Amino acid sequence: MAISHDPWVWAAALLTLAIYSFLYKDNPFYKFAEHLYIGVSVGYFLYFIIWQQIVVPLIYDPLKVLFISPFHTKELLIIPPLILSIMMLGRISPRHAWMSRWPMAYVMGMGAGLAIPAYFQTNIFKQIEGTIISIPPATIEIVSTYYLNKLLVLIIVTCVLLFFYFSREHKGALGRITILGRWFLMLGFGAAFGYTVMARVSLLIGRLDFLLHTWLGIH
Amino acid sequence: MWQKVSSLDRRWIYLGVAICAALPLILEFILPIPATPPVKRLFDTIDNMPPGYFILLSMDFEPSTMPELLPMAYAIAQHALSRGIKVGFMTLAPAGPGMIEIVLEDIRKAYPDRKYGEDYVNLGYKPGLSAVILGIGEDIHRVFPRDAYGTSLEDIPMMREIHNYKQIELVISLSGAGYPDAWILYANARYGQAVATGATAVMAPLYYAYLATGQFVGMLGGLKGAAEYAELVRKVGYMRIPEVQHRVGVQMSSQSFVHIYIVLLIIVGNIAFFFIRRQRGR
Repeated sequence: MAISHDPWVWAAALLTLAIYSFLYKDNPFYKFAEHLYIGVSVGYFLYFIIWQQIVVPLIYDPLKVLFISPFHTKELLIIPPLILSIMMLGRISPRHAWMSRWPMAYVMGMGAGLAIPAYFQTNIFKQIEGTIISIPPATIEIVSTYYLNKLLVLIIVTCVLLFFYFSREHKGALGRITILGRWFLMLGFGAAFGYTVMARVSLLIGRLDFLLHTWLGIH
Repeated sequence: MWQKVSSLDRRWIYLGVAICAALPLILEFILPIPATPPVKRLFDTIDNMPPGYFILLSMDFEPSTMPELLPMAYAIAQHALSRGIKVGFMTLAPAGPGMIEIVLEDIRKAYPDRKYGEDYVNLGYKPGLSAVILGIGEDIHRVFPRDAYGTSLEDIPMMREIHNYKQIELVISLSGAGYPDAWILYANARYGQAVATGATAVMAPLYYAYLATGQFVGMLGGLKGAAEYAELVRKVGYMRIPEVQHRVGVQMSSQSFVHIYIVLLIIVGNIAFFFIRRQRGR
C-alpha cells in the first residue's frame, strides 16, 4: 500500500468522496463540490471554448490582419458572419430582438439543408435496406444463423411498426401482432436499461478504482 | 420479514454495491473476457490494415465518461502503433484535449521507437461538429491548419500526404454523446468514409442498428467492449502498457460482481412484492 503524494490526486479523491457523500444525505461537503464543479465547468467553457477557440482565432486574429492590410481577401470573409453574430446578440434587448431572426434563419436553414438529406440516407433508407439485407456472414458455418437473424429482424420490425399504426382498432389479427410488437418494444427497453445500468456501474467502478488504486495505492 | 425487505433503507443497498464493486478491485482477479463480434470486427479491420495507413482517432469524450472510453483509446492506439499504422488524434469535445494528452503521455514512454509527426499526431480540438467533419472531407489542412502544439500541418511529415477522407482508412469516434451519429451522417453518408465507434454502454444499444447495416465497421460498447479489445490486443502481443489491460480486466470483474448483486436484488425485490401482495389479499 503506497498512498499518493500528489496533491492533485488528493484533491480529486476528496472531491469524489464529497460528491458520493450525497448518497448518505445532503450535506455542505456535497454542496461545495457541486458548486465548485459548476464554476470550473463554466470557467473552462468561457475561456477555452468561447475565448481561446472562437473569439481569438476566428474573430480577433482576422480582424487584426484586416486592420493592417484592409483588402486582405481571405480575412474579408470574416465580415458577413461577424455581422450575423452581432445581430444574434440583439436578443439581449427586447427592442432589438428582431435582429436575431436573420442569423437564426441562416443557421436553421443551413443546418436543415445539411442534415435532412444525410439523415434520410443514414437513418431511413439505409435502415430499411438493413432490415432485409445486411453484411453477409464471414464463414459458411453461420449462414443458417444469418438467415434466421434476418427473418427475425424482419418480423420484429414489422410487428413494432404495426404497433404504431393507429388508423385501425387493434383487434383480431392486427391486435395479436401489435401485442407482439409491444413485447418486442419492452425487450428493447429492457436491453437499453441493462446497458444504462452497466454504464452507471462503470462510472462508479472508475471512481472506486481511482480511490483504491491511485489514491490509497492498494494493489 | 418481506415487509422489512421491501422497506429496506436504500443506503444499505448502496453499501452492498460499493462492497461488490470494491472487492475485485482489491483482490485484483480477472474473469475470462471473450470477444464479441462487434469488437472482433473492429479489431480485424485494424489488424488487416497494411502498415503506413492512416486512421483518425476522434476522442470525442470528456472526463465524465473516462472510465469506459479511455481504456478503448489506449487499446486502439497501441494496436495501431504496434502495427505501424499512423494515428491522428483529434477531438470534437471541448474537454477532449486533456483526454488525448493522458493517452499520449503514456504512448510517448511506451513507444520510444514511434516518432511524433511521423507515426502519430495530435490535431487537438476544433469546435463546429458538422462543419469540422464535412471540412475534413474537403481538406483537413484547412480545418486543422496547426496541430495541438501550434506546429503547421505542412511541417508535419505524416500529414503531407493526408488531405481528406481519401487518404484516411478509418475514423473511430470514441464518445458518450451523439458524436458517432454525426460521423455517420456527414463522413460516412456523404464521403463513404469507413467509421467505427467506441461508445459508452448507454449509447451502445442505439448503435447496433448502424452496425447491422455496415455503417459502422465495428463497435466497442462500454467497459466490456474496452476490456474485450484490450484482451485481443494483449493476446497478439501488442500491449506495451499492460497496466491498462490489467486495470480494465479487473474493473470488468468488478462489473460482473455488481451485476450479480443487482440481479439478486431484483429477484428478492420481486419475491417480496408478490408475498406482500398475497398477504394483503388475505
